[in-house]
Amino acid sequence: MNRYLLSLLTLVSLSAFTAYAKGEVNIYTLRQPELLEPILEGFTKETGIKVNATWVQDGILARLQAEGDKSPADAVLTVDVSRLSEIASAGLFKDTQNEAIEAKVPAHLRHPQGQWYTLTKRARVIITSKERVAKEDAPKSYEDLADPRWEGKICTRSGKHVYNIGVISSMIVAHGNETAKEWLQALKDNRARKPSGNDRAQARAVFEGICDVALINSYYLGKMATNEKETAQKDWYEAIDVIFPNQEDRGAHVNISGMGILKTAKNTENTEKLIEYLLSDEAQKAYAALNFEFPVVASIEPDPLVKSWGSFKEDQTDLQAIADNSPQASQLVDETRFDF
Amino acid sequence: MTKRSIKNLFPLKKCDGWVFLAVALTLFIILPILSLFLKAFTADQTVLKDWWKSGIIWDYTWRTLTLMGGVGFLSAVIGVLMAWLAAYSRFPFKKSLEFMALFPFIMPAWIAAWCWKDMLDYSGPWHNLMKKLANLGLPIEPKNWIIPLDNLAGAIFILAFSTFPYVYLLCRTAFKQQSASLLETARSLKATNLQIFWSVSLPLVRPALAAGVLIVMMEVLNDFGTVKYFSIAVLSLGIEDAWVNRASPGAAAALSMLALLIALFLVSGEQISRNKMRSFAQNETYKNIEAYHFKGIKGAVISFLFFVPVLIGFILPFIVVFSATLRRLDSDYNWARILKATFTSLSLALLAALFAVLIASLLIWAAKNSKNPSIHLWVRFSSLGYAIPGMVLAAAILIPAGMIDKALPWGITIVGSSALLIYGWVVRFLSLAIGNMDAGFSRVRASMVDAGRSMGLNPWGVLTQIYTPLLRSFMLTAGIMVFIDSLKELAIALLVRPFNMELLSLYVWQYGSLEQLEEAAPGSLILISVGIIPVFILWRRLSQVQPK
Repeated sequence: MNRYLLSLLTLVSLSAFTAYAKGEVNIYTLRQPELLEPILEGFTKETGIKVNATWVQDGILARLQAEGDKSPADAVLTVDVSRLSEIASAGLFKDTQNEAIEAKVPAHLRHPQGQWYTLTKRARVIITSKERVAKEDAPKSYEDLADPRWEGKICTRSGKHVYNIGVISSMIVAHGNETAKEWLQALKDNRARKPSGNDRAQARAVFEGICDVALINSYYLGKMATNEKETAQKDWYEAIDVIFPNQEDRGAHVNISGMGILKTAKNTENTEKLIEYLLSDEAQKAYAALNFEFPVVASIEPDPLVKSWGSFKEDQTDLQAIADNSPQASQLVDETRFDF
Repeated sequence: MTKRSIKNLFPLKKCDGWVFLAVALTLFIILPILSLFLKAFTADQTVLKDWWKSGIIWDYTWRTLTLMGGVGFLSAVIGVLMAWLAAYSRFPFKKSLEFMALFPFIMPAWIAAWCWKDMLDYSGPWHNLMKKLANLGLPIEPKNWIIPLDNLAGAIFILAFSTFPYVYLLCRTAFKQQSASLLETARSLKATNLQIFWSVSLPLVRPALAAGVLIVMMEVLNDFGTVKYFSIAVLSLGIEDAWVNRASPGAAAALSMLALLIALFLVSGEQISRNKMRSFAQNETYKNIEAYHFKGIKGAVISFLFFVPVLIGFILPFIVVFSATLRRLDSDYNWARILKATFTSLSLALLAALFAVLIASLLIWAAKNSKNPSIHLWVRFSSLGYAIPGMVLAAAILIPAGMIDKALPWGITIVGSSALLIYGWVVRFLSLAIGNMDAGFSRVRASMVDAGRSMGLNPWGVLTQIYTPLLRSFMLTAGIMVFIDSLKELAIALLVRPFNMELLSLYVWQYGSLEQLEEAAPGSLILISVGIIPVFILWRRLSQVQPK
């Protein structure tokens, strides 16, 4: 018994201090690895550079700060702008200048000093029940969701989720704090049920008839429409219409997935190559097809399914402003007790 | 804390080796918590003011207390009744049912939450059954029969049925230790069964009950998976909010101090009740006191009642996971990868269990040997990790580790090593080991030690020749509890594990957080199954300590 334990101990303590092969790119990802791996494999196939992706959720900043100079990571990939901006404000991202990358990412979708770049975009869209909401009656903007005629008919996930915090933050930027709060309160009053589940669960709720209108991220629609493992989700998708909000004014709120290179990166060159690859036609197409997001590179068409929802105008609000207002957005969620 | 006890904390004059050992070990364990204190006091005031302004802080507190109270009460009722039946009665299939009663212990509450939501939600089995009944002509509207779980009551339900084994386990042992003569006396005085239960048996197991409920409440205080899945605004979600949406780790630390305060309050309450109960010396010898025999229909009913908590806390969720796994078997599941993650998880959790038992034994041993009263306080301090929400503790563990890394010019680092992850789990779950070892050590009579000493044993000899044989089963129980909890742990694993390391719990959580139950199912099944083996060992040990 003791001998086994001893060998186990040795094994584990050896694994404690793994050295990373030179040239490999190490990234922390806030996106679940399964959504990322196929594309990283494409990169390795093309360049021969291996990518090690480690999944983290909350507290990435704490980890990076503790690691300091000795961090094994070269870059961080996030699924929203606030996390990028947080790491940038802590001074952990490196300024970069890469014309190939800059040419592809519009200025409002990257950090002014090149500390982070958008890789893909997703829109926060309104979905309505095909059966119960006529197209011409459907809400046309986030603001419309506050209309009392939707009382008891709207579903959302938790107001504290970063995706909803993003929308609320964009409302604060567009209308100011007071109006945004009134809007959020009215939206709460229109709820069919207490916020629950993720975005997919909202589409399911529309399908089941619990509500007529819901707020979800665009890529979930594609994920449901093509779900061969749980085919019930296809029915959920079939039951809904997709509406891009605010097409007559500022445009639909867009959040991003993005990546920044850390100051501690040992492998800046290869990491930049990775970003270049992720912005390449091939990867943008693959990403668009795999996760049904909108390519950040304008010349790349979205997936045909995504295209079938029509083209749309996106909110051009500076993403930094959205990130800066997210604490206030969270406060409004508290003040209105949105999740209660 | 009185002036005297504060003075006793720093016992320079009375400093003996044991005190030194206990203080050093405790400091080693609470290092992250100390740095958390510092962080809390330097917290960003705006977030705290915002919470105050919206009053949300009261909601967090109130809901946390309600959740803890509700789960504590429900698990106490279930655990005590089952323990009482197990100790005092005989009913059909008792042996297997008693064993199965430990199973909910290995079902992570967050997996049970997914499964139950899936069962009771629209288009789930329950809804479909209602639809069928409606089709058969029963006057019911299926929609109205949906049972929403994503509320406080739902969370209480899920958490109580996944934590009651703690109460059951402790109370079962305590009931078995009661003297049969007490029962016989009560019976000869013509006390009714209810009176015996209420006035004789229950008061005697109060310390065990309090200890069990305490563990349950701490589990609730720290639960993240279930409350997050149901979006219930309790402290741990407030802490996440401070961190994620408001970018204020300091405010998160401050809020977790509130959780710590609640925990300290509970611990001291339990301590007081334990001190009060000390006068009831416990019976050392076990007797067969199965006073009630339930046969026939009565027996079947009792067996079924005993089975229900297991059904809710384990079997039904297990069936959901199992059938989802079957559906997933035919396709390209990456088994090699998940087996590797399983191996990593098992070895790390095993090491955490070993270290936790070792440190707990040393601490309690030091406390028993030192004449200095302050040492007990130090031992208490070392249990604090259990009271800090996992996510905050995870970040807190990184603080001193990062500082040491920066100070030392080594090539290797502590941050990002498996050693730090193991340390994190030990800090987190040490109190489980301490509770068990404390119970174990108190079974060693002073007279035994005196006898050993008089025969020329030195303290080391006393430890190896008297304590160790008596303590073996307690060490095993302690180790198994830490092992299973480490396997299920999420927050520390997510943030502290080495770069590029995959762990079983995280593999499952990855898909669970995407609400892809099917993808999460095979991993969940492995996670649950590997827990059954230690629970079986635990069960065999427990059966051995009760000779007829």
